[in-house]
Amino acid sequence: MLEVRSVTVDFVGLRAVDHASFTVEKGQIVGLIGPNGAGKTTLFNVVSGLVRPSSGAVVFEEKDLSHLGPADRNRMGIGRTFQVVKPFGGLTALDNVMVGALTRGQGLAEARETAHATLNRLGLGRFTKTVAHSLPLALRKRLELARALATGPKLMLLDEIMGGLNPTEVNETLSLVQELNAEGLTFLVIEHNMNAIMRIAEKVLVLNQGAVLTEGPPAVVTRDAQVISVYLGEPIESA
Amino acid sequence: MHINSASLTSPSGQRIAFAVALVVLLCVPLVIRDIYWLDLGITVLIWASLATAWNISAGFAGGLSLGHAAFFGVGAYTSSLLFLRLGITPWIGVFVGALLAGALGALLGVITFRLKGPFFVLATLAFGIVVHIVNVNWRDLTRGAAGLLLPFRGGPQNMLFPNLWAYWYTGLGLLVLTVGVSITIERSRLGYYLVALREDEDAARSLGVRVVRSKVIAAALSAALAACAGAVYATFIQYIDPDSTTQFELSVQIALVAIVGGMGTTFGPVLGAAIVIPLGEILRARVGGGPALVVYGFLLMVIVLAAPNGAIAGVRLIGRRLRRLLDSGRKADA
Ligand SMILES: Nc1ncnc2c1ncn2[C@@H]1O[C@H](COP(=O)(O)OP(=O)(O)O)[C@@H](O)[C@H]1O
Ligand SMILES: [Mg+2]
Repeated sequence: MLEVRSVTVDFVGLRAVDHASFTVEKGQIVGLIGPNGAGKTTLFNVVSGLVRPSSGAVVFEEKDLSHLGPADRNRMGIGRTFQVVKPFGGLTALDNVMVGALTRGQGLAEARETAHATLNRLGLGRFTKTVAHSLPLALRKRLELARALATGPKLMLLDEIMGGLNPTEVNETLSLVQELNAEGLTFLVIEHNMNAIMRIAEKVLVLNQGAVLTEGPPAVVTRDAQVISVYLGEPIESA
Repeated sequence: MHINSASLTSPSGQRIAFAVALVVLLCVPLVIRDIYWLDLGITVLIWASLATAWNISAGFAGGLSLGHAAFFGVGAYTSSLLFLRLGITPWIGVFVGALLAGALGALLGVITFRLKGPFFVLATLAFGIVVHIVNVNWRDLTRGAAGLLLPFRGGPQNMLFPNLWAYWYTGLGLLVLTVGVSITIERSRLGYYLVALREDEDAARSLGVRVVRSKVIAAALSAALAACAGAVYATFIQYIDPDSTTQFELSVQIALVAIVGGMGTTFGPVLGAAIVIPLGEILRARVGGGPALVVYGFLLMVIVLAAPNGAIAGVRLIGRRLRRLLDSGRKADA
């Protein structure tokens, strides 16, 4: 479904992504891990079209996306959230989500219904009329997800949506992801919470200094000595 | 300065207030017979329309334009020249001017949509200055600094009226048109896209909002409506020159009116015109000269400091307090 082909991103004096290649198959939940500054978010920006790679290509459902901007990529079925949340602060939660529903071609009334349904599903039903910037961070993160879901994506990129959540909220988010996955949504998930990744991902990619270090089933990857040294610091207890 | 968030869902109270305001405005010429005040009122209507037009691109989409006098001028000159040279009535000329300005606005939008903050402002400012210089120097077409005098020919069918009340209703029609377009945009798909882009462009794009298309449509509509105001202004004053149409100070004044009233809101620019234009006029008449400008500047500063989100925010606050007061009164009765 998604194919990243030897993508390199050079910022001034810094190579953020270094010939990264990997694939995500339809229906998978793939984890993307790596230390801070490894280039994970930059890779998301390349896939979603906000950053143009210096070289390499992104292919989605057999189509080369190189000449498409973020809006067109979303309309093709790529949704994403932002690690540093970007709510439309002055708008209500409902209006935030409506923007997502409107771009998929729904009329105002239909988009309002979609937005209500999406917010309810994510447990934000009580906050439809709340102005986004007055929501606490955990809820703003969930609003990111709601907004992206409302666009009706086929592939969802989640950038550390569990950071700062308490264990109950993490569990809720994990079961939501699994539920959506069961309904056919494919996921690529950046996550620092190793435990969480182990529970949902069927494949894990490890990024280090912009390069894909290793990939495989989570249990195998975490046993890999290299990963343990660059990322985990020490072997983790079996989850 | 914080930009107001547009309230995308409208309370029914707003509809009632709108209807009441319209009735009051329709009755004005029946009540106010004094030429001076009616003249001032018409000027306010034109400025309210102009600031509302500006607000469509600046307030909703977030790019603060300091070149809007150019569109006002294109409207004023297009309809006046069509009338003078070809005998085409300004009733038609106003739409030709709007089309021309709309195309120009779209072009400017295509060029500037990528620019952010001060760079966008500078680009619009430069555009306005270029149009002004062309206006002053293209004497064969515009007669330059000499200006254009509209002869009183034909009367109403040429948007030229023997009495002020007819201009009042023309101005009111203009205002209803611009506010109508503004409200329609605000409640439409485009309105959502514009506000989303203003709040966070990267997030909006990642949700499928097309930046160029949205911003260019807004810029074109905004420019076209500003041109309509220009055409009405020309038939009202019956004399236009570069100083009164395309000058930089005019662009600043347009932005100022909208900001004082509350940019990014539908009625803010209208309220701004109702405050700023009479204020300037009364000071000029009563105080005069340099001191008037000093007092004018000082008062505007006080207004902006007292209501940084625009006067409309203050009005809303009073409205909410009143409603709460009424509600508690009702509860006390029960
Ligand atoms: N727009 C940018 N300009 C310059 N450097 C950047 C930019 N975005 C990210 N970087 C740098 O690229 C590297 C990778 O960052 P990032 O992709 O955010 O890593 P991660 O998400 O894995 O923590 C970091 O060193 C970061 O400072
Ligand atoms: Mg990151």
